[in-house]
Amino acid sequence: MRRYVFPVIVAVLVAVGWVLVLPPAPMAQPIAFNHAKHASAACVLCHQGATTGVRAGIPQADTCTRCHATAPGGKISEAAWTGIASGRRIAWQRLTRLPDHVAFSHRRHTGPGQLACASCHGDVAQRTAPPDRAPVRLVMTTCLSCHTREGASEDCAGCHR
Amino acid sequence: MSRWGLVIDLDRCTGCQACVVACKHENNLPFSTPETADVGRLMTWIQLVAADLPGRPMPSSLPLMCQQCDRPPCTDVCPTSATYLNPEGIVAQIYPRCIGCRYCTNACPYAVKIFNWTEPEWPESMAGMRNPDVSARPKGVVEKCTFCHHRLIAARERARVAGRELAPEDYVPACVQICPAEAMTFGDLSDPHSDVAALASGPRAFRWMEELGTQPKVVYLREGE
Ligand code: HEC
Ligand code: HEC
Ligand code: HEC
Ligand code: HEC
Ligand code: HEC
Repeated sequence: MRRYVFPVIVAVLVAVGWVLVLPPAPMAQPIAFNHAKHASAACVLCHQGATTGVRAGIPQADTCTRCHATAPGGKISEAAWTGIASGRRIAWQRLTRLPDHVAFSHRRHTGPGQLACASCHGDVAQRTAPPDRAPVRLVMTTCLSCHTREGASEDCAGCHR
Repeated sequence: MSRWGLVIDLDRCTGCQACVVACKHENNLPFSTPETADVGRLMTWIQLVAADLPGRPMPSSLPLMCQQCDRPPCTDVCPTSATYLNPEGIVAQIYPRCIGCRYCTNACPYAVKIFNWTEPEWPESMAGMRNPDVSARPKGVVEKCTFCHHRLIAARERARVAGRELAPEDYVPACVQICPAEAMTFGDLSDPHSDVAALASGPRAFRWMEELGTQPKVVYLREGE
């Protein structure tokens, strides 16, 4: 019996520590944006740099109000929308992010590379609520396996700056 | 495959240091103060060094950066393969792979691989001037001139988008672009019609410490004649 006491105490402490130190922190977006309901719009209407720039970008209120003269309904309250429509910055979280030492350009991949957004971002466009983590984890092996497949550069210095 | 090379005409170089400043700006190099220089921690990827050249009464000032050797002594000693000769002849340094052991800084006979002693911090007023195409190297890695490799990636992208081949004028490092005396010429050494190829095989051409057998792709042109 006694030989179980120590492991059990350790397990309990780890569990408590886990909860205290690492609370589950899904990235909450400020607005319950619904991609599926916006399927009729082109991605670049909102993500303006996705085919012409390095960064895709996430739209601010001036883009939303081009279509939404009034509150769009859904999960967002009238009052909250008034604040947004008046031009207050929407603090969107960027979920897919690369470290500073990696060079990545959207234009290179969606332009000459002719890749679909889904090949790197999965089913984001069909989601009915914002994902709480990057839909596809883009790590070095993800980049490299496609580069190998497509015959693109595998030189370290091409991606690392 | 291109082999990038740089020719520096010492007859034209006035020692103005514009290249040094342009390089610091382009590549997000932190400030160096007289104090940091005193302890030998000056952060510049190009430096003007005094060089005794045959037939010259006084030492000449020679802009010295990574010589992009075809037989680089630094890559042989790297225990993590963080530094290597890339297919286009640029000696690359992969910062996340670098453990800061400084074997390469010691192996380099030109002393142009520099250990980063400081966190990448800039004064508030300069925060917006960071070049987004170049990373801010963390403290504790070795860094060096890359022939502005990020400019090559960007130039290739522009050419691909326009649906054409890379032209010689598309890719030029910052130091070459700034040089007011037009002492620097950059291009593809493997292209026999390029200016660099012609100059590098001319009668005034020499390589710095070429007797070491490092086979640099930075070529200097002797003064005078
Ligand atoms: C009406 C504007 C709008 C349109 C059209 C739109 N998006 Fe979005 N997109 C957003 C907003 C707002 C967010 C941030 C909230 C979220 O994640 O849902 C976002 C987030 C994303 C993200 C997540 C970025 C990250 O941080 O990982 C991806 C990927 C994305 N969109 C892809 C697409 C694709 C692909 C299309 C076209 C099929 C598209 N979007 C169409 C507004 C739009
Ligand atoms: C191209 C025009 C267009 C743009 C731009 C646009 N929307 Fe919409 N949005 C729509 C349409 C159309 C609907 C209604 C879809 C439906 O009800 O079937 C809608 C619905 C919504 C809804 C309700 C969704 C639900 O779950 O019922 C929200 C919230 C919303 N939009 C937020 C935004 C935000 C935030 C932006 C800016 C980032 C934005 N929209 C930009 C066209 C647009
Ligand atoms: C080759 C893979 C790839 C493709 C194809 C791709 N993306 Fe991305 N996307 C990324 C990466 C990597 C990031 C993170 C960039 C960073 O951190 O610098 C990103 C980030 C984003 C973001 C977050 C906001 C931002 O600007 O960082 C949005 C939105 C986005 N992409 C939309 C799109 C859309 C829309 C398309 C299609 C037109 C697309 N992406 C195609 C890899 C890709
Ligand atoms: C789904 C396939 C795919 C994925 C995933 C992908 N790439 Fe690429 N990448 C390509 C293709 C194809 C090209 C060549 C485009 C062209 O034809 O110009 C390319 C080109 C590049 C280049 C230009 C290289 C050069 O020498 O000019 C860089 C840099 C790059 N990718 C970085 C990345 C990074 C970083 C990631 C991971 C976040 C990534 N790529 C993920 C397909 C992909
Ligand atoms: C196609 C693009 C690409 C190429 C080519 C590439 N990398 Fe990476 N590398 C990445 C991306 C994206 C990350 C960041 C995501 C991650 O950590 O996986 C990364 C991360 C890293 C890291 C940091 C890992 C960590 O845990 O922090 C190292 C070290 C590294 N790469 C070394 C290399 C070396 C060495 C080479 C050449 C053999 C190379 N990379 C080639 C895209 C690339």
